[in-house]
Amino acid sequence: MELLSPEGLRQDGRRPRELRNLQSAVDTLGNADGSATFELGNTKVMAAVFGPRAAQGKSSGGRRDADIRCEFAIAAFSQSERKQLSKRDRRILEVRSMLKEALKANVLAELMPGTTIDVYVQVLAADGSIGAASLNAAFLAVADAGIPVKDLMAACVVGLVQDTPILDLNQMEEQMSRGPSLMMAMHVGLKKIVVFQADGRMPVEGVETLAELAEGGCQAVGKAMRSVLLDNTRKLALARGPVRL
Amino acid sequence: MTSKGQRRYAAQGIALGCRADGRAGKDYRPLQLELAVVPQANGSARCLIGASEVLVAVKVEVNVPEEDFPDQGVVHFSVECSPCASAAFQGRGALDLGADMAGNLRRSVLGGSASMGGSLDLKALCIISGSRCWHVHVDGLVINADGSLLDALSIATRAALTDLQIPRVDISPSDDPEDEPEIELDDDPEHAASLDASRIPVVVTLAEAEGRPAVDLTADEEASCPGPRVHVAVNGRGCICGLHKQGNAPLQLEALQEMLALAQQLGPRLCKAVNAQCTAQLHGRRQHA
Amino acid sequence: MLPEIESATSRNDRVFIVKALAEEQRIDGRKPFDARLRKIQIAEDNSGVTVQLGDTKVMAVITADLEEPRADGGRQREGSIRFKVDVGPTVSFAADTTRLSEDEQLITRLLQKAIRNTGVVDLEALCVSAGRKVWALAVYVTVLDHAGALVDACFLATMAALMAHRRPDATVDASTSDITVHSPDVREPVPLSLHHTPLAVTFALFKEGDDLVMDPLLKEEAAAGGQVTVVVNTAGQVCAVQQLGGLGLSLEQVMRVVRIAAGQVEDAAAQIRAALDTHSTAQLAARVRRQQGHAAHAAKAKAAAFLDVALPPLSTLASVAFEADAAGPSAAAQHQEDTEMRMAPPPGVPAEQPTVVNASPAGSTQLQDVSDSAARATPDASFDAIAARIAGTQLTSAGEGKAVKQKSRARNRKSDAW
Repeated sequence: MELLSPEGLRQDGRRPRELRNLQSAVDTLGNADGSATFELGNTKVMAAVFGPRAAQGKSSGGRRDADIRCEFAIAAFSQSERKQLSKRDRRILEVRSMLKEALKANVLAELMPGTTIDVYVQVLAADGSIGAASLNAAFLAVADAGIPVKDLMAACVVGLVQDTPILDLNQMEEQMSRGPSLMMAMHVGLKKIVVFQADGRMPVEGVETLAELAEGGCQAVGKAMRSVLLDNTRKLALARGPVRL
Repeated sequence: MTSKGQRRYAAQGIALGCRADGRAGKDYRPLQLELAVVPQANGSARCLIGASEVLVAVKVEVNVPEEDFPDQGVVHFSVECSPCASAAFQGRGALDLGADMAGNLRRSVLGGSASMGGSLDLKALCIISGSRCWHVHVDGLVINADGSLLDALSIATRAALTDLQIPRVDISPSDDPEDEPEIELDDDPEHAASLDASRIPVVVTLAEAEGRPAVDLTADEEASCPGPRVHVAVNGRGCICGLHKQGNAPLQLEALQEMLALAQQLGPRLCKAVNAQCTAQLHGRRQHA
Repeated sequence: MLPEIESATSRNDRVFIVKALAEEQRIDGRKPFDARLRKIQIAEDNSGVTVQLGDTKVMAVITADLEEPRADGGRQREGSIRFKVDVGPTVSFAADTTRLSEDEQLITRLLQKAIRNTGVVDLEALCVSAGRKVWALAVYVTVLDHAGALVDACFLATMAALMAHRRPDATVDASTSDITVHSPDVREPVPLSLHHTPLAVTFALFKEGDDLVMDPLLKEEAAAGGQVTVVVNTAGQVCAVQQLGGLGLSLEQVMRVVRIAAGQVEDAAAQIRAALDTHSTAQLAARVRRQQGHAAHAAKAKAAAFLDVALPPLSTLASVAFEADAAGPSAAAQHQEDTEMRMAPPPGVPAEQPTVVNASPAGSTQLQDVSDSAARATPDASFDAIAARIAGTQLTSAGEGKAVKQKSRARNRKSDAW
């Protein structure tokens, strides 16, 4: 099956450089200090942040910065084939360490010495670009928890299908395309790349093409996330009432 | 965690029938139900009771039936407590709780180990007797924990099984009679069949404080009431389909009878509310289509 | 960046590393884009490959088993390859077991992505009988010592092991469709068919990502603001790029790193090839030595007269070999050909003999002698090398002695001043 029609449209009717319908919300869970959901088409991820709270565990006491811990889980029903992945599954661990390293680079941990920040990410529906969606959800939850960060961080996935770079791969495109792909996360204001995971065989110029498209994708995702965060802040400000000095 | 004073306040509120959020002992928090929330599943529902939020997704697959029951389908239950739901669920903390609730759900829906007296017609899940049947996976996920998780899960299970669409199968006997007949799935939602979920009970969890029964405890109230917990599965007609006492604390027979009476009274109301929501949403979807 | 490594290096170390780098100096005297000395050793019996990258030491072992192919669609005609990376807790004093298992996961994933998913190994060539039996390769990578740039060493070891690997030949009987696995003595083991050679190049990044060093030491990794690993093949194709966290990099900086990496792998690949050449020569010699045993046995059983013809007096041969040696290796090879031609197998020798190099036992005996004398020549060469090295150490120790003397003199002077 061809992933791109002769007219250059994808199976789900998108143009190559088109994102799926993006929806996100913050403050969605009651118990967490910060929480968010992030939806990209049929991919839906939920994230919760507990902390910063007094250091948990034995190794984190006396640190000069905050200890950031991550958990990542994929619900058994979230994929097209029912599959219960164990916590030690390689795919789970890979995303988990990616989330952790990216958040470490993003959060100003040195401002919160001796604390622990727990970030939990749960995939509710998986339809491609899970890693990127998880990182976006995690970032929104961190922001919702009021944790200081360097900059707004946004992530997206791009790939090369029939020599055409495409943005935001869905499950079918990820599985069918044997071409290269790139997951990238960046600080959108600073224009600094935080995560860069390219796979598949391609010439150096291919990397550049993909990276440029991914940069555009991250900017677009970042813009949507910023507006959600701004709306939430406005709502909070309204609830608080006029500030008297 | 809550302080000792807070715990006593909550316990006395339950005993006096005037709880922290203004409810009486037999009042549920507002119930919200949403069907078809997971596009990857054959049926799914999200249920909110107050701040407690759970998701139940049902997926079906063609597989072989169990040896002892060749003409029945198989239903599996599992419950996962996402660490997002509560700070207490991190690490392996919630594994036992999940397994416990899955077992409770299973017993309330399927009855005994031989699936006798269950509320689902398992024979309807048979495709070819002895060789092929539907395996139904009911997967619960706790998204936010604020008490009454089992109640919410049972409501969501009932709703998700109502929402369930089982694809039609076309059985074409292969040329060689020795071979297995070929089974083809029909993706068209128009041809999909649904399952009769009207007899599935809901679980009402009751607690007691100073002899007074109460339902739908919040997480704070649960922490304040160390007494026994009773899970009663009640169907739409008010019949008790299952009973499970949890915790070591002793329970007076009179108190249990009072609890059962309350559960019998509340169960049908909950079922009615679930039915109303399901019909409205399924009807709305059909019109939309 | 990790607290445990951070605590393993002093603050002074870290500051020094960063400052020295501003003048393009590194603590072990390398320039920013110099790699450390690579040593690739392939075990003579093909049991494994040990790679040393400076003090980082990694061993790779490959096993091949006949298994049933995976049932899912389209894989009936394909063998499989899997990776297992083991970073033992003894590799470094900064080791933290949770961190190490994360390293294991990341390296395994990277090997899977850059080697399995880019089709380095022709999996269809691993099929013995479609749907019934295929070869399942397992690559076990064991980290013996971690002194920085672990991923690079793991890729080097894995690729060298894949290139050196020989699996026993297996055939399917056309009539009975039985599968026979031939012992290496009966049939020449088969090398894997490889499509390209991806190798990893790791960079440590300093100062907003403008300063970078290739093949970092553990201390440099601890002082760095981040790392990027680029996996490139010898054709200049990028197979994987991995940057997680650390310093944010601009797009230009990432591309710069990728371009530099693309220019670096050829060197490493050439070293693997050289190691393979040495290995195949050594293996040939070993096999011929083994063969000599067979040949002598068989020949003795055959006829003493035949022996007389086939084996010229040892003394003449040795002298010939020495001549060849003096004239250089090409001449030796030439001579070898000559002798082979002269010693064409006499008729009547059974062709089914499990021979490897050459159908005739006589010819191989001949060959053996030549290479044996070459081997005899090597100890001399290595003796020279050792002698030179000893001389060097003496030199250095003499120099050190001088330094010590000077120091003590200085101390004396100091005490004088007191």
